[in-house]
Amino acid sequence: MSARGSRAGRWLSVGLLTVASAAALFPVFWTISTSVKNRVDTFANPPKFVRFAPTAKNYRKLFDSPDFWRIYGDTISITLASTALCVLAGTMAAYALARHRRFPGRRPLEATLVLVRAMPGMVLMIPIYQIVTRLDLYDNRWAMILIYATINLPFAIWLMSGFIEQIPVEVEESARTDGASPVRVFWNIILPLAAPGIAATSIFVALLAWNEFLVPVLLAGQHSKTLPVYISGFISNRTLDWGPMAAASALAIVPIAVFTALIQRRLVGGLSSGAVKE
Amino acid sequence: MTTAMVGEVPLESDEDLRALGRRSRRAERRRGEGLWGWLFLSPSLILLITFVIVPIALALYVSFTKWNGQGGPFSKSASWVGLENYQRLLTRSGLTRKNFSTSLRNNLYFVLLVVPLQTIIALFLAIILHQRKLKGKSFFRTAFYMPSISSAVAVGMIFVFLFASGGVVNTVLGWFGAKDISWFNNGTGIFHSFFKVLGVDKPPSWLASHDFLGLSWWNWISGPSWSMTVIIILAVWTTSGTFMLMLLAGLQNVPEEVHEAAAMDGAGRWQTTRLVTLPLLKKQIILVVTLGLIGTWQMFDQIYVMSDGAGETMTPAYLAYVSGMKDNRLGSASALAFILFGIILVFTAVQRFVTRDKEGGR
Repeated sequence: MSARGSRAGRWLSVGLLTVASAAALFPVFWTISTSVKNRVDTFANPPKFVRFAPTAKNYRKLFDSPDFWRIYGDTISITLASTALCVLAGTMAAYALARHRRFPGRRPLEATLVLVRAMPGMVLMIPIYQIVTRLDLYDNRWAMILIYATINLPFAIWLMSGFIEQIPVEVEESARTDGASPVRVFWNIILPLAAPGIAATSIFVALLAWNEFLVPVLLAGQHSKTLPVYISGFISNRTLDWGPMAAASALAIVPIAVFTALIQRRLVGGLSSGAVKE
Repeated sequence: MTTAMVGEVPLESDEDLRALGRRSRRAERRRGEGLWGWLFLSPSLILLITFVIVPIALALYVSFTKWNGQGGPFSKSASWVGLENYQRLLTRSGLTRKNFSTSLRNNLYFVLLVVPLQTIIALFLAIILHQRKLKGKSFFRTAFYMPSISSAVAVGMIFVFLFASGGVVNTVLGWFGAKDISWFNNGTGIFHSFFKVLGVDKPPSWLASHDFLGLSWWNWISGPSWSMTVIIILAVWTTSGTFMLMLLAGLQNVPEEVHEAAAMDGAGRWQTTRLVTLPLLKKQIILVVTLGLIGTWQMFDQIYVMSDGAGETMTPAYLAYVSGMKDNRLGSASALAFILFGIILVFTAVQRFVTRDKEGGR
């Protein structure tokens, strides 16, 4: 290809990428801009894109409601606890599956993991709702943490398997001949070596948990409500308060977005060295 | 099994004896390893048995009963009805079947449009982003990934706002001369709208008189409704970024030299992409399509937030929710969810079959 042709090609790619990223970012931009608009500007026709006087009123309204901070804190703690449980259990399972290829339960377990992914959430949630209410665990944070962790477990095991399979067996065999127990080997050798994989998996699982909707909308009442359920509550009464809704949405999206932007290089790296490669 | 193998080995020398000792020690260790294997698996197994296996078994049982959720599923309030719930959904004509087949139709158009669109867009973005000399690569990558990490609920609400009458989308379309489109509670299929433009206002009798699962052929070919179109756009917008990231990860495992060699041989960009990049990405593409199929057949969050099933956006997953959690028809809802599970399995199996390695493991 001639130099000029490839230069034109590069401009074309940059042009296409710019249009595509504008489309990708616009709804997020619109959420943020709606969150700092007055009611009049929100419903202005034609819509006001940039020329309006920003206001902090919507955020103040949100922060003044006693529920908001509790819900925000609950969402963080449910996300963190379920992610920790999910990734720890997932890493242990991935290690067992990667190292014990002749293990008798391997095939059925792997089949179960695939089936869980394809299983409609409703198959699980209808009976889970019945069980949870009967055990008096409706609106209970611990129940939600366990269920969140289980739902994301197949994904965590799948992603972690890719990382663990890359750790050479020789590393742990030398430790084993020195008499270290499998638990020690796992804790002192496998975990540190798998740390980049664990970090990437944790982030993906935490993103899923943070945005999880089906589980909390069915199982959470007033005491364990999460942010997505809170946001969806704005629409239930047809008179919709767009400003505070957009503010709550912005607070659900922006911190995660900033964090992901900072570590995005690692995420792609994590995926490419992990399971997706296979 | 190990002992049987040992038994077949004729023992002749010390060498063999030592080998035998090694073998039995290894067998012992393997048995020990099996135990440790179970130990490492136990947290996952406990979670999966409690929250997956037991609920599935329960749901399967409930799907053969008529139960309104009062009392236990094994008590008198739940009566065993055999296959009746499945028959009502599939073979017996009535409202239950019509609602179900309508939801299937709605979801089918959703799958047929979203899966190809999100795969092609993700592939296209990944290939452009993979060029070595591209400036601002990490900005674009982050921008495209942004929709995937945004809460589906928050974004669903904003889409409602964007597509509302007098909203941004209609305003922008207005610049091009389009009149205000009512996107919500609009159950007209876009193919039907198109036929209308062509002058076909009423269904031809041969389409109206035949039906499948209680829904006339004319209704099957309606296309996605205008309301569903918004949710299709939202779904493509949300998922393309994740899939792009997965494809990009796959591309990073394609050695740079492969592309350089292709360029050296005088291959153009399109040729390189078609003949070199795509075959090397095959596994990731299959993964993305599989995940896409599974995800699109389980459409729930956005329907809950955006339409509540109105405007022909009812999907089987949402219908299961409505009949199970709102109408308290747990048997029917469970049967529906299992049929949906069957559909997902069939779709993924067909897709696996179509994309299987035809050249025999190359």
